Amino acid sequence: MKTKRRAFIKTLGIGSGALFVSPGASALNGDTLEEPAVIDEKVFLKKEYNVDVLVAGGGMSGICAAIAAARNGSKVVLVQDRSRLGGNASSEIRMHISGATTLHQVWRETGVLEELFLTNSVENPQRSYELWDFILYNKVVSEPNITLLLDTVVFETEMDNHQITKVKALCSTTQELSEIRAKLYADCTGDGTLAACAGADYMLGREAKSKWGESLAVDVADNKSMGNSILFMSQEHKTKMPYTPPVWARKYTTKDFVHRKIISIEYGYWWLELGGMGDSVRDGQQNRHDLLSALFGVWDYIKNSGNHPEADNWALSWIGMIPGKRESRRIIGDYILKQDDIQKPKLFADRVSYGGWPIDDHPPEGMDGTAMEPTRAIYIKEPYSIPLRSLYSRNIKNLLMAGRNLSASHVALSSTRVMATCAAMGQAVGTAMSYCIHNNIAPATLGNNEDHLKDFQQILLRQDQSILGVKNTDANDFARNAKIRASSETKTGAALQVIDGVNRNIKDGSTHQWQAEMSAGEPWIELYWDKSLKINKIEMILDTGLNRFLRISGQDIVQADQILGPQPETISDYVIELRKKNKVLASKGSRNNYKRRVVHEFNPIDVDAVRITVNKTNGDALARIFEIRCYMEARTINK
Amino acid sequence: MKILVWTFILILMGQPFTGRSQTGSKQEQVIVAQVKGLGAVPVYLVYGADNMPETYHAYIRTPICEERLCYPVSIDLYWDLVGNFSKYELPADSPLTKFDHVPFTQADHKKMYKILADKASVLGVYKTEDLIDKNVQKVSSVVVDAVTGATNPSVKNVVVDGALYSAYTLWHLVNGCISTQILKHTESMFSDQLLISMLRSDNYNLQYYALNKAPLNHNKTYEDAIVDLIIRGATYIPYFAIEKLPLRLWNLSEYQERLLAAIPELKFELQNELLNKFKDLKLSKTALLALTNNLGGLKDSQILKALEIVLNNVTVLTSTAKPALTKLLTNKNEEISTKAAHILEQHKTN
Repeated sequence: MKTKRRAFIKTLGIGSGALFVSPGASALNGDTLEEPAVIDEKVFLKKEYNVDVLVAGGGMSGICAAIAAARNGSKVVLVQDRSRLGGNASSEIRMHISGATTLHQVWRETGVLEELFLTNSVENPQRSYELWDFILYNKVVSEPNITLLLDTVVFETEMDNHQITKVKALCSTTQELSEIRAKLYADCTGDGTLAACAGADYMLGREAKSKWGESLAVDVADNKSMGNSILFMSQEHKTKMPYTPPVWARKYTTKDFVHRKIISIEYGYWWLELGGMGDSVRDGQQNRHDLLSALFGVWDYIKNSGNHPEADNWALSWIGMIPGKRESRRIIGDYILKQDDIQKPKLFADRVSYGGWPIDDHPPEGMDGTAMEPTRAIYIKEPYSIPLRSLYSRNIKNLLMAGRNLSASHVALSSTRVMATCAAMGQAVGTAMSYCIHNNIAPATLGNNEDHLKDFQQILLRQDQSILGVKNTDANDFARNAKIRASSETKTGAALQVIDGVNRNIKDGSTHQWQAEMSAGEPWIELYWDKSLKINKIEMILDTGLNRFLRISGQDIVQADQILGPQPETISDYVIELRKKNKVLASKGSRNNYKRRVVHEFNPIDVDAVRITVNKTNGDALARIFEIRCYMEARTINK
Repeated sequence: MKILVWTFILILMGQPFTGRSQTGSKQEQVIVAQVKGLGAVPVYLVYGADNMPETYHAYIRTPICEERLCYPVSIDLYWDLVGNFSKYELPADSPLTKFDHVPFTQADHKKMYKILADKASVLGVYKTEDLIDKNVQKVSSVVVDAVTGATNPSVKNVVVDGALYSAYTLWHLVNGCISTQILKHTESMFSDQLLISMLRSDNYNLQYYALNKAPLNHNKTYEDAIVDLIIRGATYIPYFAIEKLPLRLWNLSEYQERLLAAIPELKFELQNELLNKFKDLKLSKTALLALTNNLGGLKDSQILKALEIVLNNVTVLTSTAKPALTKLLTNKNEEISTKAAHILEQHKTN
């Protein structure tokens, strides 16, 4: 569906600075339009930004896009319309960050998202959602290249020849009108707001089976979508806690829970869902009220039906006020991801991230159709790749997107929409924007050029992006030419594996990591070369138990199979020594490490060996290292 | 030998139009389903002892190939009146087998029953090649060169391990076009008698289907059957029946009495549902007595609900009900004893 708004307004001759058009005017009748109203610039002070990258939307996609772009050298403005970052994952909505871990294999997402999860695990053992918000905030504001604009709403774009030249955003609390010029723009709003403003092609609703031969699509195309949900939390008290619902709460009886089991009461239910029958963009206010009505109806049932005596001493402690959205606009890219791409994974030449959630389509009726199952999850057998061509607009040349508003069919979206998958898309898009700016190419060029793609994928891999089927072939990585020796190694953990090009378990029978018993003393591994060389950077990928879940949750059973704090497999204390002729020329170490990817910079030194000694793990009996890389970098444009 | 086998197959497929099934009940051919790979399959409607339609039946003979390891399967399939899987029967000399001719165990059959009864199974969505893990191969110890892929881990729950194609083939036979045509045929036979027999059956699917179709046109037989379903319906049927019953019937003394008297034998959640439902209703004298006579065995929270109903209807409380309430005056739970006292107080003044 193409939106012609931009062209329409141009034809009328209204300047694109217009925000309001007087209600009485109608150009269709040939009336002359009155002078359009503008924002009072005496009250809303204009602030101008001229940067490399604008990321609109500070949910998980936007956060990862902004951080990735910033770390790759771009100057970034991140615009978020709330006071808190995180979107559906923030304390304001509290939906679970789900992704490929659900396969119960080895595919928990890595990169920036993993860094966020590990930090939260260590710094927020109290499982406070508000503290999680601040972990996200802290990560973003710690990047010197990011300017964060909270409470700031994107409302308009200026265009020139199918490119965005300026984005306007308003902050009512600071009364600023921000005008942001950037080279590239990323729509991580979820609703595709920036894209819609810019006139990007997008899709809405559900496509028919006949459109792309998707067996799980509906028979007849329609405007419905998956619905939105609101969550709650409750707490136990020492005495009975009575509950009276508001008069406008819905009334539920046991028949409404045939397919919706209430197995815990401290955290709400994803199936508390409404809004799919209407317009997921426009109907927001009514949808929120309907969801609250449903929520209080469900709680009333729990408290007063008599069927949940275990809830007698429990009372509501938090209620979401923002409906968590699953689906709205889907911006059209050069490639539309479809059902087949989810069920029969392809190694696209332009693959840049992956997903692993089931095809999880919800009937649009939600709580209006309690006789129906709230979802039909079709499990997939392995993760699937997402191509870059699904992450930039096909008609707006400098617009990219990440998150649930990617270029995908409704059926495919029902798998890609979950936040870990969105976060990985965000990192791909952020890195891509920096790459394009650095190489002075358009996103569409990158998406279709094999040479560029190969270089780009190497950058992604080096930065620990969640990506499938890419091995380290970085010619600048001296580790790849090194010989390896170690104090010891286990049968399945040969030291050589630290340079085998793979930085995680990929279920091919190999551990792809060096393993050594800690009990034998502090094990070490050494890379050495016959000829000495200059090195100024050592990078390592460590083990953080990617087979497990690791995410904040308000639900006890979700928390139960996670390990809080540093992951035991991760090396905690280590020392890196740069050596020449057996003499230690420089050394750097780390204590209380919990990160998966560690980077150490040195003054450039001529060395013939790099030795890493493991002093301590976070509990595991084995020292484990997936990958070691050695670089001599003239400039740190790609960290 | 092959010719003999195929002749035998052809003879078997040409069953008579009417006659007796193996159990001796009347059956008649009502559908000829065109099934992919099998051609025309006759489907019979089997009548019960009361001459009412009871089940649909088809005899199928089809090869099932677990990769290149094939074997012929003869199976009698049975569906309920709305096209759901009911059961299958296999000749003793022609069992279902898994890869490498390993016969099904009891547990395998149980699992297969569950698979075939699940209309929403992913077997309906995936193609067979999607269900195989090509990275793992099993080599037959029985047949030379026969190899099959292992069942993909993500679908292990929805198939019998080693009998992927059996599950797939049978699922499509059971839940494909034959099932659709069965429902269509039943709907063409609709009568009050048939619907009521479905309401009175023990089959959840039949009860649910008939409940949705039952007219509420002051037909006492329907109304009786629906009230009955509240008491004896399978799993969630009582709750749908409660929703179906119109308010005017909840106000009838006869039904109030029947439901309240049944409370002791009902499940906990259903007891609560009825107690919640009656909270705002005006009860008859006899209904209120049925309630007070059946407080034994109820949990405290439920007794309190019941007492609330009694209080709302204290004007029709008779002296016959007093002993049950007096007993509650000494109940350990103070809330209960206080409430009982209050009710008796109110009763005295009336």
